[in-house]
Amino acid sequence: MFNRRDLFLAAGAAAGAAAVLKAVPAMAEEAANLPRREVALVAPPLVHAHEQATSRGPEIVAFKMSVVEKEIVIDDNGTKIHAFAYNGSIPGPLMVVHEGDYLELTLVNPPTNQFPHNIDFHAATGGLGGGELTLVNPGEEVTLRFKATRAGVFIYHCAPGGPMIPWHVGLGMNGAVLVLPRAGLNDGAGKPLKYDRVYYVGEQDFYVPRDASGAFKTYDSAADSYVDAMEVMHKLIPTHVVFNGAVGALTGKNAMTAKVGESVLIIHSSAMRDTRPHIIGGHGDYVWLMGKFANAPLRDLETWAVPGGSAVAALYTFRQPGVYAYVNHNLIEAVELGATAHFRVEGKWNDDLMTQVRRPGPIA
Amino acid sequence: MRISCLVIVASVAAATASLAAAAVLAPHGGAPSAAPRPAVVTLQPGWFAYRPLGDFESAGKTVDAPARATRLDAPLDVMKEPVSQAAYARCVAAAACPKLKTLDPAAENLPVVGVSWLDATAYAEWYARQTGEDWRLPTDDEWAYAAAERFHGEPPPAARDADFAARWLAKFDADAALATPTKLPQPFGHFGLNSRGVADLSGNVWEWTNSCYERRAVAAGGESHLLTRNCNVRALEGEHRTFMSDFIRDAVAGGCSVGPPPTNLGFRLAHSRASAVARVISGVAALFAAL
Repeated sequence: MFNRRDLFLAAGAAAGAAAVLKAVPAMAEEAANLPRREVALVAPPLVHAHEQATSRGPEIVAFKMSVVEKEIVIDDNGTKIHAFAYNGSIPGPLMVVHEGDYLELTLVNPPTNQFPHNIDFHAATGGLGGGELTLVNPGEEVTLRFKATRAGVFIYHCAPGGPMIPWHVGLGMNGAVLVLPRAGLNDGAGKPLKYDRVYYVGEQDFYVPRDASGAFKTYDSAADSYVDAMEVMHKLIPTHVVFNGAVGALTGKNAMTAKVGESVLIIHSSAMRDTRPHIIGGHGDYVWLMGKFANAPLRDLETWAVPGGSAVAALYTFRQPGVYAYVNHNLIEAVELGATAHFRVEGKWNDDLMTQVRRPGPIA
Repeated sequence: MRISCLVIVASVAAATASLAAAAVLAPHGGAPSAAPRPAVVTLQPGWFAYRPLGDFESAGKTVDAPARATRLDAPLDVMKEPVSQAAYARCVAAAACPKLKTLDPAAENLPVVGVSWLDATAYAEWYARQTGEDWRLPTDDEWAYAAAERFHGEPPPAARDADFAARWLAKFDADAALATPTKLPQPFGHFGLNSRGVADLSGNVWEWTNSCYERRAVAAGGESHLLTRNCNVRALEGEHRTFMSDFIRDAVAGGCSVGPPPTNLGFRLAHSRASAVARVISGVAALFAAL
């Protein structure tokens, strides 16, 4: 009698067997001669150090990620889920390369895991984004290399096949890649744009089953939660919509920081659901709608669309000190389901931009 | 000495209480409850430093509320523990309190949570009828006196800056530093007693007071006068003071609201001993006058 684990492994093996493609080395020798540098990944919302405009030629930029299957707490009430996290974070870490570079990823599936995993890079070309070439069982690792031919922000996510795809992605298994133009960002009219800081905010929808009394259910393993979770997913209404993997992960003492006068690039991804980020008190000075840098950015946006399955980049120069909430502007999701982050900005208040002409007081 | 004076008067009052009760004390509403009476701590009168609640301004600028020496004039009975789930359930069963989503009628030792100011007031009115005693929510200053070292009314020093954004960030930092306690209601005594023997103050339950939101202007001499009072909004006390609309049962963070919301909303009741003693004294006087 199969148990759930065997069923999942069998499905993975079948997909793997059908997918054995011989890597056709068209121009692979070209890439092999390029310099190769390894980069250590950093947990979101921070991003590993990188150049914006680069004078270097194309390189192979090599990353390594390990898939972590673990139980996590996702809200202030102690609600737990069995999550799947690239490198242990939801979202997975941001990888930064330049257009024309080759992104090399070693994906490790530790033997303690229960499930096969892979990775689909939206920035890549062919092979289901790499999904066909990266399926690894527990105890295996694989190395994929793809050419970053298009500049922009692109998501990556697990896509092991069939209903496993929404299930893995709904348990946190997604992240993003930043492919910068070699000359850095520009406003579409030749003016270069630089950022002083960059933050990566990954929005995640969770679908946690409830029992008859309405309390969230817990399970002994991810496999045990599968049937109930898919039932919730079918209704298309998440129980939690969070940034950085949990309610409050980017608020209060975990707030993102900046100073007045600093330009901040905010990369926002959402692997399945549409969202619409908004900086309360701020704007998108330059927003690369749909997230691709060959397109001139839109200017002065209040709120911008991030379709499910994509990432978007927005550049804002802070002009006032204080607290900014950064939200999914479906305010039900922002307040009730968790889609709120904070920016804490220091500097001098500008009365010209905003002032209280008359304090609140009795009506004259 | 003031305290012994009260004791003498109280014992005289007790001796004549049975005579005076029918004429003076509020009529007993309904049969005496078989339920356990909650433990009570009697706070003796005294002085304490207190910054009143609300938004204060001076010469058009936001300022901290001035700390004033404030006096509790008469003994105050405060429930040692917050009102329990079982006690609130008895009020619901008597059709005197609104139902709550989660309530364990057997939980004599767990605080009732998820209650609004309206719910708490309904309970206080029912409980006052049941006991014939003038139980009600404490005022904010009464709560501060009862809480002693567990009262968190001091604004963060950095927030005393006149610059609006600096005050805002200082408050944000102070709120961010607060620990977020578990949401699960804890058995009575879990958060310990304070120096006055009152249990579980500033734990994971913020407690309703009767005090309304106020906006006041402070003059040079330190005297303040009222600009606006909004009694649709009441003060909650706990790890920090906050204001909430009277119908809210659960505080939620998110959106622009900065700082941790109260984990749970609950309450305990108080009643001033002065009014009872004064009533009995005036009753005794009336009795003698009638003889």
